[in-house]
Amino acid sequence: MSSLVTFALGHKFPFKSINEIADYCLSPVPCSGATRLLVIPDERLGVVGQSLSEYSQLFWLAENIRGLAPEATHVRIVHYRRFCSTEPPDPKFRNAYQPWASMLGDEDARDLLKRQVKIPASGFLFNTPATFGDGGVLKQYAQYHELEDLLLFASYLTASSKMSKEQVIKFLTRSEIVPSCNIGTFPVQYFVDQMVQLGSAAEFMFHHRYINRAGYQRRNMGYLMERLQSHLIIDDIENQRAPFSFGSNVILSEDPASGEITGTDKQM
Amino acid sequence: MTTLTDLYGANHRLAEGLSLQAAELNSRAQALQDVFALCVAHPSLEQRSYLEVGAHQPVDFNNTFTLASDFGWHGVSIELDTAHAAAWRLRRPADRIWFTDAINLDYDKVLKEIARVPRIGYLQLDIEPAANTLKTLKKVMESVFRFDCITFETDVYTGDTKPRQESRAILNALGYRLFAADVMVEFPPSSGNLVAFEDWWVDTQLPSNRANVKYFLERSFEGVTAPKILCQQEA
Repeated sequence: MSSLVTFALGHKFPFKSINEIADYCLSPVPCSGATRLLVIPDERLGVVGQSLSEYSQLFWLAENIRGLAPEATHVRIVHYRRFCSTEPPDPKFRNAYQPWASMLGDEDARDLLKRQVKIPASGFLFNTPATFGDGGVLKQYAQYHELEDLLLFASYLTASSKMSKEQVIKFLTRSEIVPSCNIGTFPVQYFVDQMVQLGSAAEFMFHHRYINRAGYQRRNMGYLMERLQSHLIIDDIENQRAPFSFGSNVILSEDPASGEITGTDKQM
Repeated sequence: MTTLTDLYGANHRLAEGLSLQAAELNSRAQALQDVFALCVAHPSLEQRSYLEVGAHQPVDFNNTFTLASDFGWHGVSIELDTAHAAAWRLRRPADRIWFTDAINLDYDKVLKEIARVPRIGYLQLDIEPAANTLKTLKKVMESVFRFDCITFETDVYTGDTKPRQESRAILNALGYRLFAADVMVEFPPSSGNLVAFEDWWVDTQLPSNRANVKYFLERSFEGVTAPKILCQQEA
């Protein structure tokens, strides 16, 4: 019998709708709003641990999910203000600034979550991919981050034989991305295997060519992980290791009418 | 299983408006700490809150399980070991628990999650070793909150007397009164005999015109077991 466990990731949990569906909330720091909070400090992975952003908690989760929810066959990941919905929200909630997402208030999100199919028939739910257009992931990454980080990362992946040259070329030339690709619903084993693969790639942050940056780019390993995980998901779908099962990207807001998103959530 | 009715008799008043006849308590605490908290606590349900540091298991040998499940208390529990997380999710799904290091928390922020006024019914301090319990006490007492009653695990039976000594100095200075010193319990892994492991405190700022508070502020015990302490109420 299938059984779902839901984890919410964040550094605060202001939305009741998210806390209500979360079996556990994971945060790098003690924070408000969660009933069952697991504080997983970034420093667990050393001084560069914070560069992983939420992947720091996701890697810990992959190691511990069997103990936290031994009965679970599937895992649903949500963020403190973001989830992947099996049911498309009403078009009136479409966000003008992020056309791939809908923006809802807490109460509307709660109603939507009540109607969710918890585990889709296929056992998977990914966010619906968006297309970059010309230049693919390279151009898109360079737009928001340091291109050098992506190139050094790609070089590391091939030099360390963590990915083949062909795979790295596919990764760098992708014209689609799964936005916020770590949210969704997955079989537990699929989730664990993917995190192990990403964790291996993330060892780049201990390599001498990794640049530990400050300010907004201090989470550069997290940005790289997002791009790589998105590539792995699309590659799995293309090669029929995962089904074509997409949901709607929902963002929660205290003021959904404004359409404004703050901080790192401006990105995909 | 020992019930309070066995200890006190069915008509004993546990707290104002709360008789054992109406609510026979099935304590899951190691030494009836939950009964102590119920006895001291304010009669208003809204103020029946707890901060449980060193929560460990959710039900057995837990000091807040009965408070939350039978008496409607609310609070926050802190535990470092995530190995207990699955059991908490299963056995106490509605109760707030944070798995984190208790020593460096900002307790004003933690307690504002559960209380609108800076007053909490029961504070449990019990992490390992007792030196860390002492560090946590210092951190908790940096907050603006006060606690109707406190149980502080000194683990003095280990031979380390510093946590007991320092915690007593701190709590005395802050206006708490040592109601039961060196509460004893059988602790089979270390000893088949009774060992002293905990101090129980009451806030002297509580209104002494409340009968149960007056009782705790006027009496003191040393080196006895919890049932003996609490049974004295009958007299």
